[in-house]
Amino acid sequence: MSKLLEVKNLQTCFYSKDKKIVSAINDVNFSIKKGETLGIVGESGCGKSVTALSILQLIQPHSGMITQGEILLNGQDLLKLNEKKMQQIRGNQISMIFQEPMTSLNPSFTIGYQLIGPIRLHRRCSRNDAYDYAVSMLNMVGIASPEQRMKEYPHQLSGGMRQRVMIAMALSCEPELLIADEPTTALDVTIQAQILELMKQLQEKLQMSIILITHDMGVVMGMCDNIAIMYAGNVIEFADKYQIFNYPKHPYTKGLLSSIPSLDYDVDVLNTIPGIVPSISNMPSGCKFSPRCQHALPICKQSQPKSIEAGKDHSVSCWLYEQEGGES
Amino acid sequence: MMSGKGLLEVQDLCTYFPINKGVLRQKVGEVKAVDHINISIDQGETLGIVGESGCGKSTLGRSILGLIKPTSGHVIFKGEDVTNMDSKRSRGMRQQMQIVFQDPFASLNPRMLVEDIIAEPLRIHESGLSSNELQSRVEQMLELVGIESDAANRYPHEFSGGQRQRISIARALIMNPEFIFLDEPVSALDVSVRSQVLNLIRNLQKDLGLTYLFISHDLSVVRHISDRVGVMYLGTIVELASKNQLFNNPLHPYTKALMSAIPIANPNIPINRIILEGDIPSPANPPSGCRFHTRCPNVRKDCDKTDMLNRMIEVERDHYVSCLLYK
Repeated sequence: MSKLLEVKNLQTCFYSKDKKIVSAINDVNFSIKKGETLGIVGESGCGKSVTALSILQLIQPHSGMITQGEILLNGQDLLKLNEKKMQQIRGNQISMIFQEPMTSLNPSFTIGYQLIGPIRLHRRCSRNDAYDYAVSMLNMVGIASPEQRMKEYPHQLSGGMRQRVMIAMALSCEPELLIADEPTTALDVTIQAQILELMKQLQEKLQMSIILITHDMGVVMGMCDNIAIMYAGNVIEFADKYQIFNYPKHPYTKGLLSSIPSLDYDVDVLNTIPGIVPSISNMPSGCKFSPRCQHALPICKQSQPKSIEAGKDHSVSCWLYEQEGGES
Repeated sequence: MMSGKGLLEVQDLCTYFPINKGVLRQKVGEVKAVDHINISIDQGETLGIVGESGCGKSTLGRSILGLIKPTSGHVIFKGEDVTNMDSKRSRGMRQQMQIVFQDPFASLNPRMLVEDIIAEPLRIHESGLSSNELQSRVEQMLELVGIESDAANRYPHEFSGGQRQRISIARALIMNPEFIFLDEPVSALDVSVRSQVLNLIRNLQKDLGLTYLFISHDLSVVRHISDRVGVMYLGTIVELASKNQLFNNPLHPYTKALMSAIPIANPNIPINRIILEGDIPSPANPPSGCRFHTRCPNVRKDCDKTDMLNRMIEVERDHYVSCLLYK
């Protein structure tokens, strides 16, 4: 399978209040193949959403910009396209669903109006055709009595239904890549299970790739093929999910996995990662995890580790493995 | 139904919210947020309550504390009925029952110093204290929850989510309560910080002999922290058991579906989900009979007729379930 999307050395910066430039993501590398699901995992503020917004170039020009890197979609660098060409990529080839289905739908327009708009824009069809198509999309995402729902406003739908509408909207132009930014965080577990199941079915049907952004290890393990773990703006580990779960390399990945309480057995004291996530305006030097890392070496505080191969298709950014690799 | 020697006993508690409509705001219906609930919590025990949003878990906790006046039923704390106490006595009683809220960004006043936030309960309940005494009590509390004492003279915005939740806990602890209602205390926190706060909550219970009512929608957190667990659906408790019984042998179809819906952070375990159809019905107009029958995969023909409210069947010792399948 060929690579659908490849992100290379991506860096996105924002302007801080005192007119300084701070980088929210730094040297981000990952790739996704056709039909594959990639999970981007990390805690709040680690740059997951900025990565997604950068791929679609939705960073507000007055607040920040992409300063470095390449985003290759089928070999074409999206960063070299002008805004008009980019507009055609968004929706048609890459589509996105957001975390909060209530705030991403406009409360003052009907579901039908909001669905038909993008369909007409991208498919250039008549209003009637777009209406029929929108109804069929709602049907596909499992909404009962779709004609009725077309006339309703977002507040008349439940959270799960709204998220289904968002998915219908995102998929209406049959994109090759769907970016889902915490699609189920605002939903209850039984509804979350419905939505995740729906996304899986639709992926199979439409043969699309998904980038799933979440902080929930459980969700990624159930949905994804490959996982990228992010910490403080860097992808610190990238591998398939079995590698990540069975043989995690980076101390942060290990800590993250062991601090989740298990459903199957009891532990007296949960494993913790000491300290807190650094803020983007006050990043530690060297490896950004080093102040919280139990295995930190002197070099960790001085320079940032590069991403190295720690196994087949398993890359990690940590000095512990760099040295290991150098010695052997 | 349950042992009679609990620290806290909830008997047939109902909390209904009126729905008012029209110019005259006439009552046209009720939301039955908490409907005929019976539970008891023993001294030093943690009772976990799980359920989806809107099932009434928070209303249950708040009704127990008297923050919302229950419509009917009794809450008996240390042998005394706190539901119909006069305000003076209930004030004294409230010192022993405290709450920690879900969102540490909304529950701390941004214009108050941490010191004042933590000392506020003391100022209200023990008004004669000198400022030195107040200060030393606050410092004790900060030490107890693991925050350095210079935090007292700072504002909440200077702290991270985990630290703020520690401050909330310090505020709840300063009156030396026996019972604390923890309303989703870790839901707003990141994974790596969440485990720190969970460990703190557990250690405090061991050291101070606290009794907890712990509410969460996250089953793995509830399993970690609780001794017994109750599962709520649309204002009623559908299953109540010790955590091992509940997690190893869930009986109610809703409990089974809820457990299978949790994403497990282990790719080696095959996923076998029970996907429930549809959404949770509105609590203003709950289904007749068993409230779960509209979504239940094991529904039978008399499930919609038999009223299961308040009918808990003891299937094994201390394992109660409200379901016709086990009759």
